[in-house]
Amino acid sequence: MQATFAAVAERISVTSGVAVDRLRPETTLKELALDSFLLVEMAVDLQEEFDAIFTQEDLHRVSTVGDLVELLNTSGAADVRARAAADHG
Amino acid sequence: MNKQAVSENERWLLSYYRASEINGALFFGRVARTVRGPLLVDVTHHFTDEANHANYWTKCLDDMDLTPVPQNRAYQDQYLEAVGMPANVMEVMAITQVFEKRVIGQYGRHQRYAGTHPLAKATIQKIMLDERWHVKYVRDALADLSGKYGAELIDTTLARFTAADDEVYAKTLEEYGQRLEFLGETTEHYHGTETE
Repeated sequence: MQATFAAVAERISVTSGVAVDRLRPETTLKELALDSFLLVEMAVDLQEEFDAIFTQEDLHRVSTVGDLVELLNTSGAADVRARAAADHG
Repeated sequence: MNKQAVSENERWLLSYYRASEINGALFFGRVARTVRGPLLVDVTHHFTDEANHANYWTKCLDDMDLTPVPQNRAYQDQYLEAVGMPANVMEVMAITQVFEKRVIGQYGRHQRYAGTHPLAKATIQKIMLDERWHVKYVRDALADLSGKYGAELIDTTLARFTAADDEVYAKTLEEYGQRLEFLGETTEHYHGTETE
């Protein structure tokens, strides 16, 4: 499922309680004031919704909502398994 | 009410268990809000178990006419600090698998200690029934997730989390060793040997 900004913003709004109209691609996760558990909650929710897999390294690299959208569109299960195999093989 | 005396160290340990179960409930409450599919039922069940266990320990202490000793940090705080916050459902399950084995090992040792207060022993017995189910459903969940994440990645993740847990447990024994001596626990004896 393609992750559009609108669809991702909708999910983030549900999890974080931040209104959709306050979210922009350049909105930083810092601005959303997510504690670490809420960040996990949001990450799991997005992966479940868009059938993606994030790694801890991915989450460390993400700083804006736009980054999250991009990550969701490049983090399919096959991509992650291939990266893991390359890392460990 | 059971009038057997409770040592200050056992009171501290029961309070530590209580704090740990509360943290577990808060963690699984968060996960239960977002997880989908077949895991939704089991994770929500797990969340309620953790909350119930915190309640059992609170009642156990209360039945002993004791109040919980305030705890700054629970085991999970240090464990999550060591492994990093889970990034996906598989990592949540892997963290849980390793942690639940640790919990079963710790409760088992406490239960076997001859001087354990009967109320504490009864509470552990009740909790252990749930803990065994936790290990089983998480093991099954990880097996199911291997199709999506790959068995190799899951194995690597479990190995990484197990190593971190061993380190955190050794540190916990160094920090609170005196509190646990009554169970016969020492750093030398338990570091890296948890297999239950």
